[in-house]
Amino acid sequence: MSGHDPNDNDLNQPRADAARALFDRASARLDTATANRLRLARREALSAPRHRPMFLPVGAAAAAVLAIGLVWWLPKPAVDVAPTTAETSTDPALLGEDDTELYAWLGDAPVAPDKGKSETNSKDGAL
Amino acid sequence: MRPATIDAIRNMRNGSVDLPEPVADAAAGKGVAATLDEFLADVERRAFRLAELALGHREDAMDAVQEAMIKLVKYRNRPATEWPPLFWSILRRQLTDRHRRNAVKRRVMTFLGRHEDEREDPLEMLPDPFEDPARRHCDSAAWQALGKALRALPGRQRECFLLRELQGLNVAETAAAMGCSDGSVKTHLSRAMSALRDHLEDWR
Repeated sequence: MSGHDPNDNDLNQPRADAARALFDRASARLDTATANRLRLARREALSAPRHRPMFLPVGAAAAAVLAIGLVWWLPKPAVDVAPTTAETSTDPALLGEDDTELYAWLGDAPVAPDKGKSETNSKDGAL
Repeated sequence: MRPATIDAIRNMRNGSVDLPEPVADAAAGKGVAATLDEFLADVERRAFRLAELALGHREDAMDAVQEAMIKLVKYRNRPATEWPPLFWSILRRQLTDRHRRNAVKRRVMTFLGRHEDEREDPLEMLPDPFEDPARRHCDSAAWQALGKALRALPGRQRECFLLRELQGLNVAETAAAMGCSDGSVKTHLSRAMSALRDHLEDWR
């Protein structure tokens, strides 16, 4: 490691030993209340059940099975297969050369009068 | 270096149950504890003091140690030789998580304009009423200074100093507890010692 003289650690070691001695004294002379709490915490930890109930894994597995079943059994939504604009516009069969003439003829063709409507009009006129 | 001790933590991470050969309890300098209760009774005080130094809060330290005990009990069927490295590794993670949460909490409190309360009571440290008051005061002040300096270190350096220098784990055990290489432990420790040089002078 750059920037650190290995001898520094040797020089610091007696000081670190002093810190460790302080740590040892503090650990040995723990106050009674804290020591009792530690003892109680240890007993509670040791009295915990050895095998925790497996509610969470079982529940997660059941939910996963249910989800898979729903996906499997539910009907699939209908898919609309509508022709695209590109398909209709590029189909040569639908783009005949006579289309323009056909529509012109349809526009000019005489429209047959509605029979029932013409009779009603004649009656209204008679009155 | 004790490969069996190191393997204990690696086996825990891998979910393996390989049984290491018996090794001494390096953490406490004693033989292997016969029962988990005996092992925890041996280490609980040092664990609490170590957590107190790292967190600067006695209640947090108590919670961290208790949580580490609870988690260790899940490994009660492991060989007793695996308990020390497992325990210190679990406690280290507890301290890391709680230190991170406390840092976020401090930032929020600072943002809200509130100051964190002084939660340490130095007089609780040394309860022996027959002890020399001057010595008690000196130790209490040194303890406060030690904790303050350690909490100012980067996390990995602090963990390394606590486990290697104060708890007394060897390099390999410290590396196993920290989840890093032996070289990283030496690097972290060297940097920690350099950073603490001025403070260590006061603790002589």
